[in-house]
Amino acid sequence: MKRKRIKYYKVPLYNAQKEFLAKKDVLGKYIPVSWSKNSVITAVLSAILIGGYGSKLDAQLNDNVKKEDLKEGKKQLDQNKAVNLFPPLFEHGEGKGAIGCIVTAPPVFISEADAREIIEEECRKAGLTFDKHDFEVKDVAVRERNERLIEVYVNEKEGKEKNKKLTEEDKKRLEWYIERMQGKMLKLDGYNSKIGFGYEFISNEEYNDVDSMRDENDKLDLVEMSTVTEFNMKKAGQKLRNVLRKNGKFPSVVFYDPLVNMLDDLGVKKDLSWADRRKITGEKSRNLLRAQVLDFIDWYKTNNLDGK
Amino acid sequence: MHFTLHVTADCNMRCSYCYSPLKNRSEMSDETLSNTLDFASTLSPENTGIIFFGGEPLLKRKLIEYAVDECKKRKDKHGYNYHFKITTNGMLLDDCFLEFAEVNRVIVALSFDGVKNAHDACRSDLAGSGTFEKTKEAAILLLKYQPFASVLMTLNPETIEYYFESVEFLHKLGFRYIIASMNYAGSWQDKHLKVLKREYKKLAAWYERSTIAEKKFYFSPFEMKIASHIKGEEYKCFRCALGKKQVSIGPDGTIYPCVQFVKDGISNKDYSIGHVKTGFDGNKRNKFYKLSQKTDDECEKCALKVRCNNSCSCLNWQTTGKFHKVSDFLCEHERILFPIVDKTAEKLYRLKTPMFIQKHYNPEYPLLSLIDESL
Ligand code: SF4
Ligand code: SF4
Repeated sequence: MKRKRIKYYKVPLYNAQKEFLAKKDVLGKYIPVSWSKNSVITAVLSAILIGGYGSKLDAQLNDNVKKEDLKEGKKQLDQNKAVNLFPPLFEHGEGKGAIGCIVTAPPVFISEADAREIIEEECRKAGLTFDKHDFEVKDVAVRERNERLIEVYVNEKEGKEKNKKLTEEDKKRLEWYIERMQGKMLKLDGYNSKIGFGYEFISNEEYNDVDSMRDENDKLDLVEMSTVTEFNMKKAGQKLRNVLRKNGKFPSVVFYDPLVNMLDDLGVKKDLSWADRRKITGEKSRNLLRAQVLDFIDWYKTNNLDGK
Repeated sequence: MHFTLHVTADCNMRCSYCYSPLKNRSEMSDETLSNTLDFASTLSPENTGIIFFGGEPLLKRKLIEYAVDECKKRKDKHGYNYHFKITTNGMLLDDCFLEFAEVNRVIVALSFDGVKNAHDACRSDLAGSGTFEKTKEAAILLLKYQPFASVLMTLNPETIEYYFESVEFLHKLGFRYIIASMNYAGSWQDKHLKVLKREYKKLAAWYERSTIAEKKFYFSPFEMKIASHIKGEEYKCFRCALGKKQVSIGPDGTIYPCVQFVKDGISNKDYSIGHVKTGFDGNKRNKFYKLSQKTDDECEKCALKVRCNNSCSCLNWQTTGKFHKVSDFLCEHERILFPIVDKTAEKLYRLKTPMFIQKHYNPEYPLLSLIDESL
């Protein structure tokens, strides 16, 4: 008996979930017999299928919406059509990375300002401009206000809860809690009030808020305390998109920071200085964001939202 | 975040593979419990998982009731949220506790190794007699209250020949969630590997038959391996994050990175990462976490590296004394299991078996399955 590595292992001949769900209406084709006899299950299943699983499936569903709309005549494809269509998340870049005391390959972040410049420049070329910035979406909270916890933490900070002396650190921690429990509404980075369409870029500063948003599709998430902050921008992007789509009032496209990691990507070129690494990685990241925007513009034109 | 509370190191059974030492068996006091809840609730106020663990936690039933009550008070006062689980050997499981569990939503998991020959070979009472009959009674009672309860089976070299028979038995008894763990610290030899392979092949055929027959079940070794391919990147989330997503609290309030490190709650303090009264020792916690993220040299170049169970630091430490060094048996086990599971999954996929497709590809499968069961 011994440890023995395997040099080669063939890729199993069954799809990964992402590939599988990208096929059109695939889950609806394979329903267990016992389920098909159960009207409640079939109803829930159809609702789930209509709700969509991921960007690709959603894009297909959106295609269907488009065909129906077209059948009804061009006049229905007016300003309001943006409400019926909802762009998928355009995936370029894994959006994964971590920062903190034990991370050796930090990602390079794209600032809000840089992102706006890239997004608006490409959109402008396609005839889409945004007349409003930081446009508040009144009924989409990225953070629910929690009165009860605010009260608890304020009391504790003021020494009413426990008879103990608070250290500076305790106070700082409590202040942070109090701040976290205040409500905060989503603000779209850009919004075109004429056609009623906006965009939002998820940056590292906004990540925590979006990540902790409640989406009905979410399973219970474990809350993790760590000195390392981990990012999954793509997942957060998908979540925000789902929330906006469900809300329905503010059709918008969501972009995310692609997060290229400094070492991961340049691992081979070990002799590069950090400044050079940062530069090359930053460029790579910006190109990935640009690719997200270009995909969106394709989608925007394909769906006749530009009115041509 | 999850907190496994070792409410007592004592037990009313004497299993041959138990890692809770016989001497110095300490217990958690009301005060330590209260401090633990304070600590846990502040760390993750919105979702605190409390797992009652032992020894045998039901020996401290009053403390468990007190804990649940305290959590209720904290919930009412501060809005904190809790969910509870308990892992028991079933000897003290009765209607009264199960009613309490129902009211307070305490999920009960039962340790049960399967058929009599397998179970009684290792799991005996204080007098040295097998506990199969009593555990079976407890299982039937539990399933009456919690039809979706999990059963935890431990596989040993001496009883590995009953693996398939035991899984089939537990499934027929009514368990749908079968969590099977190897006793990696057992004295495994080459002769056992042959039997293990044979048993996994029988289990593969059973898995295939049951899936085609649209039976609903979760059999952990197969489901996890299939998920490791199907979920791709996401599967990494299941990997060990020692001392970050869950921690163990010893009877005296000492915090440990995982269950195996607690032992009697006294003698293994080198591995403590803090105390509920004073909080985490950040340096030690990070040191252990960092060690847990290392990969065994042998695994580094292995084609199975990402899918393999090589990252469980707790298991590695228990068997080799190092966080990242896997045991020979773990490696052999993985190399036996992967090809068998993948072949089964490939076949079920090729046949587009509806239950396989829904179970593994439909993100809403748990919800649909629950509706199916309850109507
Ligand atoms: S029931 Fe659990 S704690 Fe008790 S002796 Fe057996 S393995 Fe150990
Ligand atoms: S199969 Fe063995 S060598 Fe390969 S990753 Fe697993 S434990 Fe490591």
